[in-house]
Amino acid sequence: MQAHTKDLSFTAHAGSYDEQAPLVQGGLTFHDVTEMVSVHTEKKTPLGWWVAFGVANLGVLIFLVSLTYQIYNGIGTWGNNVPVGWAWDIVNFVWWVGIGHAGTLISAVLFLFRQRWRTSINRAAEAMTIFAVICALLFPTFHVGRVWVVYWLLPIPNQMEMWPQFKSPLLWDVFAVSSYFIISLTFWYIGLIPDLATLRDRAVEQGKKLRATIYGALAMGWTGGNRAWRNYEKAYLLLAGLATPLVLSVHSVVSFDFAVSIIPGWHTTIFPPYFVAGAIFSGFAMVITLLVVARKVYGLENLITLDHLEKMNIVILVTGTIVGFAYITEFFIAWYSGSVYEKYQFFNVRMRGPFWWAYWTMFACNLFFPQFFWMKRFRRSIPFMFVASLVVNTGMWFERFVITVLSLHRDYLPSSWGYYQPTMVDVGFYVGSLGIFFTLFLLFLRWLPMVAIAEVKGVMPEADPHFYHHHEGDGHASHDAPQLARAHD
Amino acid sequence: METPLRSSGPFWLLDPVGNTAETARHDVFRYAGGARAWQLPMVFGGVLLVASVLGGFTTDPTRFMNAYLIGWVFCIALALGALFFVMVHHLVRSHWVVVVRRIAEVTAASFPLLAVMGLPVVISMLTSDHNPFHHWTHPHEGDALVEAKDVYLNVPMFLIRYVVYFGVWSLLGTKLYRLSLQQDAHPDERIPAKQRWWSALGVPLFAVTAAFAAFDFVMSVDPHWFSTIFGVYFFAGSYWTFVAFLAFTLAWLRRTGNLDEVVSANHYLDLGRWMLGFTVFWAYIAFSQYMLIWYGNLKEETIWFTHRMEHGWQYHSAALLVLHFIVPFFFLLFQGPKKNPKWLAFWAVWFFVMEWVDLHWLIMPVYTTDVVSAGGHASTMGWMDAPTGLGLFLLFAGTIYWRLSRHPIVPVNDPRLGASIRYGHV
Repeated sequence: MQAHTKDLSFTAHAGSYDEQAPLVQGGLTFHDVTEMVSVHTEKKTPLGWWVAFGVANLGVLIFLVSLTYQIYNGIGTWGNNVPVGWAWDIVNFVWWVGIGHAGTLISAVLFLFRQRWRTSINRAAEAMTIFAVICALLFPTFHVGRVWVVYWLLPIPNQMEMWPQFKSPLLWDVFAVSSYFIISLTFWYIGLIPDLATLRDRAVEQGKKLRATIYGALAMGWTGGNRAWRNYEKAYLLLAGLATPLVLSVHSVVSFDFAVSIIPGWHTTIFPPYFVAGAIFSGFAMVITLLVVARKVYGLENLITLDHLEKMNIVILVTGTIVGFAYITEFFIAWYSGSVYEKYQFFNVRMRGPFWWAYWTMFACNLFFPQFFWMKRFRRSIPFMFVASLVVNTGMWFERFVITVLSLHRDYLPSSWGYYQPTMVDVGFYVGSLGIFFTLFLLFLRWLPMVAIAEVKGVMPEADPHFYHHHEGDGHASHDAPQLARAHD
Repeated sequence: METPLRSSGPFWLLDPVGNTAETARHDVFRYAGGARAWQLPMVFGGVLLVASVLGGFTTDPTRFMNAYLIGWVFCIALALGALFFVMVHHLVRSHWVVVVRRIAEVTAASFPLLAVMGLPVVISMLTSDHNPFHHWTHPHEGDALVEAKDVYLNVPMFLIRYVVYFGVWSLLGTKLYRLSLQQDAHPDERIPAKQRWWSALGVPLFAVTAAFAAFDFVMSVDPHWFSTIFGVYFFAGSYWTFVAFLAFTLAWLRRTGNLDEVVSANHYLDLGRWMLGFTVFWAYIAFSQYMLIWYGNLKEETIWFTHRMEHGWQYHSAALLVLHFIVPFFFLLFQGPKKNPKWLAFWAVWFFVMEWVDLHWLIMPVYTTDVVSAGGHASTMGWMDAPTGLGLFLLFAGTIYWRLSRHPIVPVNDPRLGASIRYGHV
């Protein structure tokens, strides 16, 4: 280190200043980490998993029933009707897409910002992203009405010379969400490869042939050699770079669906960044909901520690406050614009209209409730953060409801004003989408390593190339003394 | 018990803390730029400003006051960017940033001075209709939209907000500056926690005041127009400019031998990444604002862009797209220019110019449109516009460098300093 030549040694004491609790706790070794994550994909399926899976499947069933009924009878089975042409379908679409954002933020943006704590939560968060986007896509797909011609959304050359409307943000959505899905899936899969190879090698050792073949095919011949890692890390960085603008673009395009129109309450220029902040807000809340349970059930408290949860709660506080400030800006500018329609929408319809309760639920859940996270006590309280995460996603659902339905049910023409009520089919779709989400997530927990084993190892002290110069061992398990026992102390 | 830092007596407006240069513990942390580094900009800036006042204010006071407003808002943007830079890096406990943080701190300590620099604008609002805000300080008879905003857009309310904005910014900027200098003189382990506390308090206050200041100081020049994203737009340009200023200052300090081997290619690379990131962020916000208004096609909103698409302003609009975004984006994508201080200094100057062009594009078309609609002729780039802006900026930058020369150029006792230096060598 050249700086020493200038004798800056007095700055050296400083190195230990930020030594907070290590990212991986409980004195785990490399082998312990492999073991405690992999074992859940190898052991006999626990009864609890089957129970959860059964409940989630019930949701899928509800979805299929609602779907069949809706396709057979048409979109009229939903509560959507003039003037409220967009309702739960769009609310749920935006809600699910938003939830997806946390995964990409954690996996790509925090990676670029060198946030090492992301390693133990990124895998599950990315899985959540992919499943949330799948759920999101269900709604616009079936909202087209005649779902058998849904491919008309794509610009496919055809003899009728019929093209989608390229100026419509609804088409931009098709491109934005599908490229988001493709990139997220690729990114997730690339990240999985070293861990899939770990599962393959373990399956070989355990003598499970079929398992070894499947994981072997998925691991694409991963050797763990220097060249493989080099290529892997380059690909990972490039994909992170590609995924980062997508975090902003997807929900910006979703916000354009509303903001390009001239409906009061929709047409406001702050929508793109405000939607992105809201998306990250709800996504982190969903990560908390899922991981608070998963880390407990799967005994991963030493990998997904309270410090990880606290950091996520800080993100929730920050993004929730940004969203709240966007609400306030909208109010101010609605007044400042001098437009009677804007003023009416914000000061009469939202605050005092027939859906006032939806509006105030949104406000309380999104702006006020997260403010508890200013206090460390609440940031680190598992029961509180679990409740808060549910409250936040309730609030964010209501935010989309407020934007979509409240603006539409009081538009420019008083003669066309109306009220909106969902039908059982609407409810069935929503509950059903939750069922699909949890079904997929449970399958993920069962078959794939829910924590990025290789990445977590990279942030452990043992990853330092000099570590074993002054520590015993070499990081590999000695076969006669299984070390996992210590992990469960 | 804190030992108070010396006050700088009669110069408190320029630097609230007395000279602490002796607390630098090593030569590489000591300012070695010489007095000319702050004297030259001050002299040049002063000359330019005096020339602009003599030539401009006497011939076309309205245009001059608009040009003055642009230059002043440019300096505010720079200082706000610095304030946010300091706060956000305290909050995330950033290591790498420590060696470059002092430059941000001295910039963010400028708000009392900026409040004074704004007085000509305030005086012009109080005394004549030759002020940039005359559409609402002296509204036309029957301008219903402006009358409807009278409760907010009136001079006393404006002055109250002026005091609040500068009060909040001065409090935060000065507090963080003092805490950091305090750490130099009297090391204390508890100071980082205090810096974090003030930053946590500061960020929400910053968001609200910066957004509303953007509405008040820039958007309300045309009081008929409104855009909810305007505060974010201003912030994007503001942070963009400050990061460029930081890179420029470092590249220059490096020439003097300061910070040798302390600030390394890795630090420049990170600053370059901020510059690239905010080039994109600005474009994203600018595009969102433009596209949504274009698409909605409501006359009351599009008129603002219409004014910027005619009478020569269309070239400014195109320049913003090409030179504020496309060109720097493609250069800064590559690592080479981001690691090289000379390239970064080049882009920094580029950024200063483009931020000024941006603010000029936000403010000046209101004036030229007024002139044109009254049957006159007004060039988009008056001869006094750039000298006034450059004069104010140079004067302002001179005070920043003067402040920098009076203190260690690095927070020498920051507990993360070692980690920050080591970061350069990994």
